[in-house]
Amino acid sequence: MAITATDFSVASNGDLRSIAGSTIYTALELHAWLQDLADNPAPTADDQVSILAANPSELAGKRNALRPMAVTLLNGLNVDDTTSRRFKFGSLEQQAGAVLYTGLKTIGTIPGDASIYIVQNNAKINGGTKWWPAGEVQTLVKAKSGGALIAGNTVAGVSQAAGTATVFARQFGRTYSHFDVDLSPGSEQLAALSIAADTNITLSSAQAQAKFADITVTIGDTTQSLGGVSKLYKGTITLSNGITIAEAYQALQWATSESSTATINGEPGWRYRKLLSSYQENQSAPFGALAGGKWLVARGWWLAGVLPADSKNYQLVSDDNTIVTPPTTIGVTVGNLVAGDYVIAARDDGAGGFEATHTATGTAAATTVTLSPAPDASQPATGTIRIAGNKHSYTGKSGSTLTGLSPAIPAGGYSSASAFFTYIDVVADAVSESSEPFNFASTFNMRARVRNGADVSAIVPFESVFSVTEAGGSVNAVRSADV
Amino acid sequence: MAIVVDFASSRIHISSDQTSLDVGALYSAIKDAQDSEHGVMYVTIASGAGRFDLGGGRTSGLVVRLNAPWQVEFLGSGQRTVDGGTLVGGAGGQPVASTPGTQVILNRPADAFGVATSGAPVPTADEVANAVAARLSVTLKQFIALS
Repeated sequence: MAITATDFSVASNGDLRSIAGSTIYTALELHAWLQDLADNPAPTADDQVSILAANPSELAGKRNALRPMAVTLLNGLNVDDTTSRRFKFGSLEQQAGAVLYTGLKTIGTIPGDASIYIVQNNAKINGGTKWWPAGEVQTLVKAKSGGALIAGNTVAGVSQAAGTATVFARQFGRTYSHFDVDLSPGSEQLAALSIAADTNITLSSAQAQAKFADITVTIGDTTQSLGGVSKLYKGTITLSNGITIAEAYQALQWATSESSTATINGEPGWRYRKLLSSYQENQSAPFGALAGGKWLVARGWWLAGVLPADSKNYQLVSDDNTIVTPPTTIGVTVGNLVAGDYVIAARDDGAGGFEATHTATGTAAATTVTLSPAPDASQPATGTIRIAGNKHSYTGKSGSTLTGLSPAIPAGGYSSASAFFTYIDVVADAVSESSEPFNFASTFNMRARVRNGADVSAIVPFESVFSVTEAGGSVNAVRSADV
Repeated sequence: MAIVVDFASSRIHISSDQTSLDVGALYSAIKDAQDSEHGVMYVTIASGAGRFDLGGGRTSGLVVRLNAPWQVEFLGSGQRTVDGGTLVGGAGGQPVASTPGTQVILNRPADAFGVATSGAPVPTADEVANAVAARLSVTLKQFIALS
């Protein structure tokens, strides 16, 4: 399409300016129009280009309307930023190479109404005001000014090469995508994007923004244990006020969306990409994707404050790139009880008794005891233990030490005394008794005993061995009246 | 007077001032011990049976079987009796541990048992009497005839 002459003016000082219309022309069409002016016998009122003046432009390479053309404006001819936006499909270089506008074109799966923005030197270009329509973008972007390539962006504290711009598509409700484009070569550079509807978004943008208030994002090293795996993480996402995993995902998608006002790790959320520069990015969701109800949290983040109902609905990637999954938390239950029954359940030894899994050592009157081997997450964090037959409750478990022992260690203390955890060890006060939650490690057999010798409710002692699997375990007492 | 269950030695100690042991009281003590915080750690001491309702307010006797190696041990010396039920089992089939200077008498009361029968019904007393009378009548007549 030939340029409409009234759309532009060329001043005698070489300023080529857009003065009318809104048609976007190709770089080649500009060159063709300038060359057409340049063979005129005399300049016109608003186009001071003619055969009397110097050559206004030249092409790099042969003229080809099917390829992006690199046009050099010569002899003082120049466009300003606004005028450059009237062109596409090529590049415009001017002022002896001191200024360069490079073509930028998006390719890929891009809905027609997709909102795309370009970030350069850590800022949305043109202050966030787009001159391109929704959907695919094909325009010119300033790559060099004053003889220097415009600085690239800083990603997780590391600067990109000068001349690099990043094209973002982060529209809340859709999956996110971005592409780093090197604009320094001129011509037209491509940015590949992939955008799809995000079916995990069920909140409105405003609702998600409100939910972000229930999330605290903290940067800093933290070593945490999950499922018995202790790892270093470089930041913490703390959930509060009952926010669910699904809501947290949406809130953080809002926080990293184009319209976000959040700041993450010192960066505006709309260009936050990852926690550390050495980490791989999660383009579609910077804090990790939600798949099948499970949040695959981006690398380096520790997640705190997860609701019990969400205890399995996420996985982490530690700083050393280890995938860490929450343990399967299970419990055991003994049912068909009456108040007054004594119920005990512990690991079966395969010989009619309870397995002595540990030895315990502690001094008289102490409320801590050292176990060998050290207990692991497959024993409840709080509960009861039998040491030399004595029942003790405990309130904490750290390394090889149990804390908060009650009653305290009896006179004489314990020296490598036989010990085992009792998952249930209580006089029943309900129709069933359950253990404290514990982590499933492997299937094992649990022995349960239910006894009641009271005259009014005496039963033949009940004893059963049942399997404890990833789903936990349970057994109902058989109540046969005793004589 | 006390019954003390010692899980460590698998003995049920009967205090020296107790010259007789009621099996019902023994079983109650055993059940109490078994369902205690300490006792639940261990396998059961004994099992009981009996006390069936026989009607008319009567019940059959109690039978307590001690699981090996459990035994009852009387403390002190002299004669001791076990009654009020039947005590069996124990280490080597002996429910009471042998203690020097102590003689233990295990009273084992007879119980009512149902006995299955077959054939014609058992004759009543009158039928027996009538039969005897008839037989005597014949014999008498034979005797008179011969004399």
